[in-house]
Amino acid sequence: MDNLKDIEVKAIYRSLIRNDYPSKLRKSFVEKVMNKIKSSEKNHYSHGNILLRYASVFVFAVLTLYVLNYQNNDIEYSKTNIEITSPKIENVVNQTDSCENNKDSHNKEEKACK
Amino acid sequence: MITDDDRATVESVINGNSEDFALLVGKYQLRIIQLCLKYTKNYHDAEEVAQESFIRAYRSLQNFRYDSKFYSWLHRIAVNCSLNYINSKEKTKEKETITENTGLNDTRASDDNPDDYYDLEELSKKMHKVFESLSSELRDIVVMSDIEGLSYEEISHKIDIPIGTVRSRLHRARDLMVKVIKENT
Repeated sequence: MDNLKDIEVKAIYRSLIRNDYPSKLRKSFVEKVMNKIKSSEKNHYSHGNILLRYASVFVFAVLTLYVLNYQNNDIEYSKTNIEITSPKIENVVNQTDSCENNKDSHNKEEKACK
Repeated sequence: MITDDDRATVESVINGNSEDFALLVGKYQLRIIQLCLKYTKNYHDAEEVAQESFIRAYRSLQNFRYDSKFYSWLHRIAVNCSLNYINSKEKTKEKETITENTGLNDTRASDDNPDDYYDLEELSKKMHKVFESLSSELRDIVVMSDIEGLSYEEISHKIDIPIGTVRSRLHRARDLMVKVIKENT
């Protein structure tokens, strides 16, 4: 950054002409300060992320508890027995195949069935 | 509200251009390190305290109200940091006396590479050589402006020359001295 270099040179000139200066100056002082600022900002954001994660876990836990409690309280059990009045419908035919019944006894008949 | 050369830079940093803070650090690093040195009596500690001062200033820049110049505000922060440093050092000394732990000396100075630093003593000698070589007309104007802090107008009245002449002479003298600094930094 040329602008920064010019500013630094002017600052050095000002201090030297007034005879008010330390014996030395670290060349990378500005860089060092700016790196510290950047790293502290990064830490600040990462702390923010951790907080956000904890907050989202907490919200999720509270919501889950609320939903579970809500379900338990609102279930109304029936006091009477439930009777099914509709006629029984037999969908399954209870008749077995004659071939299946004789399966074990006669191998020949089984083959014939197939 | 006080007019401040740094206002635009401060506003730029507040508006999110954090890189511009480097301009303020570059401008005031020497003055702040020198100020801290008066308290710490040791360059390395002064550098640490100055660094802490700039970081604190950056963090609380949002609270800067422009009711003083930026440098005055930064100066106050640096003084507070230096006083905190003195307090913490006194506490450390007390602890060391209790535990009789005197074997741990500061090894930072010996770890430093001289190439990492500008030798300001040397630079000052070179610059003052140029200053001594200036004509008396130029030297007087440099003294009045850059050492005594007089304005162009005040200098113009004092030595009875037009403001334009003051400005051009000062420009010429500064150019010669700044050239030496540029060549050595």
